[in-house]
Amino acid sequence: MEEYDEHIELFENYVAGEMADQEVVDFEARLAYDLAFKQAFNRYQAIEIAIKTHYRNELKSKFELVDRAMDQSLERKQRIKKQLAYYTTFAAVMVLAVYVLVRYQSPSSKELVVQYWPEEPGLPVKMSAKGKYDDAMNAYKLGEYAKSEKILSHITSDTANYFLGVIEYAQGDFQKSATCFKRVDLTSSYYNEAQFRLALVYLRTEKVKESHHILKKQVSDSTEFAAVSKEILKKKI
Amino acid sequence: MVFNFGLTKHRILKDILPHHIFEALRNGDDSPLYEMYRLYRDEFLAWSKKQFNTTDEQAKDAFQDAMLDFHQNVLTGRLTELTSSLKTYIFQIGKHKILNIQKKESRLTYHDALHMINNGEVDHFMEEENKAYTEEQISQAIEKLPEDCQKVLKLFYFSEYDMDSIARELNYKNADTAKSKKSLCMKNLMSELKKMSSILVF
Repeated sequence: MEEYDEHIELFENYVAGEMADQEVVDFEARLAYDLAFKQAFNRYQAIEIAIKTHYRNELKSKFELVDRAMDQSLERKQRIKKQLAYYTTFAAVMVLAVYVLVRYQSPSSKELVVQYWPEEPGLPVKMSAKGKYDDAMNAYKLGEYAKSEKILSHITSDTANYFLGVIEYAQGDFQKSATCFKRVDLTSSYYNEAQFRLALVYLRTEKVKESHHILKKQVSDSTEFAAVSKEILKKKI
Repeated sequence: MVFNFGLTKHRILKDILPHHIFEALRNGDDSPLYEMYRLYRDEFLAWSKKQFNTTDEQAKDAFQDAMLDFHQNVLTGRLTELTSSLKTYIFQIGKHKILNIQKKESRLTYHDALHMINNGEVDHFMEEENKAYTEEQISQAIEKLPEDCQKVLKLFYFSEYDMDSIARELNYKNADTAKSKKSLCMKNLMSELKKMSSILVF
């Protein structure tokens, strides 16, 4: 080994090409006949390569650290992406479920009645000659239902009964509303509408059978409420 | 000229002229190297996977080697200007690295089979292996050397500096001083190796 140490300068000079021609000849001759010298030189060269490799590996290991950091960041991003996809899917399913629920769930009787209850504008009030319904209609149009009800209750007519039914309904007294609509006579021009509204009042008070009976009659009699009655009947209540 | 290649600024690396990067690397600033690594790695991985059907490990290995070659070529002055873009240059080296890796792996498979049927050859191979120091032992020995020795060896063997350049870089009197220092460091290295392994015969 010590002998090998002495050769280091020699090896360095040879490798660096710093020997005189004769020195090169002598060196190469020694490599040929001195096996120990040749082995020492081979190992010197192997160590030189290993030194290069060491520094190369040193830098390579730094790249591996960068790799690890990049891969971790990528994994994190993929995990977040996965979670995002999961939550998005979950949200989409929820939205779909809510939609299906809303779309296909049978509407409640109350919702159905609110949806189909016809708007009643009230009778026109003449300016020239005062009619018997004028005060009641003025109050009705102003939303003063109690006042209108009071006036109408003193009038005995199908028209009064019809409007009383509408007013009671507006005030939430469905029982009275039904009673008033029932009083409208078959011969009255308000009859069909009173019946239709009565069907809705029944629906509102969960008297489904009675309501269906009236609605079916509207359809079979082909009244102006036949189409809408058919539509309501189609809904599963 | 001092360059600040901040780690978060790799996006602007594209806009930096290659010779500025070369200059920074030659001045011992390795940060552009890591930024280039971050900038091109994923693209290289995807490209090599598509073009050469490599595994992630093969592609990473090839890319690391390509970056090392690029670095070494800049340090040794073999690369002073580019006729293509930096990316094309690195990818070109990387391509050859991939082909070498794939060739080497197929050869290794062949040798494995050969060794299985020829025990004598295996024994001979092991004998040869035992005679030399392992890379790991040499790495450990280098790390035990004083810092100035490590610098000399790195400049000489990795950066391929000549003795004049080493003397300039490390403020030695002249090239002869640098040469003596290098010889001394090699002797120290041998000594460390000898200490580390009394079983192995050098």
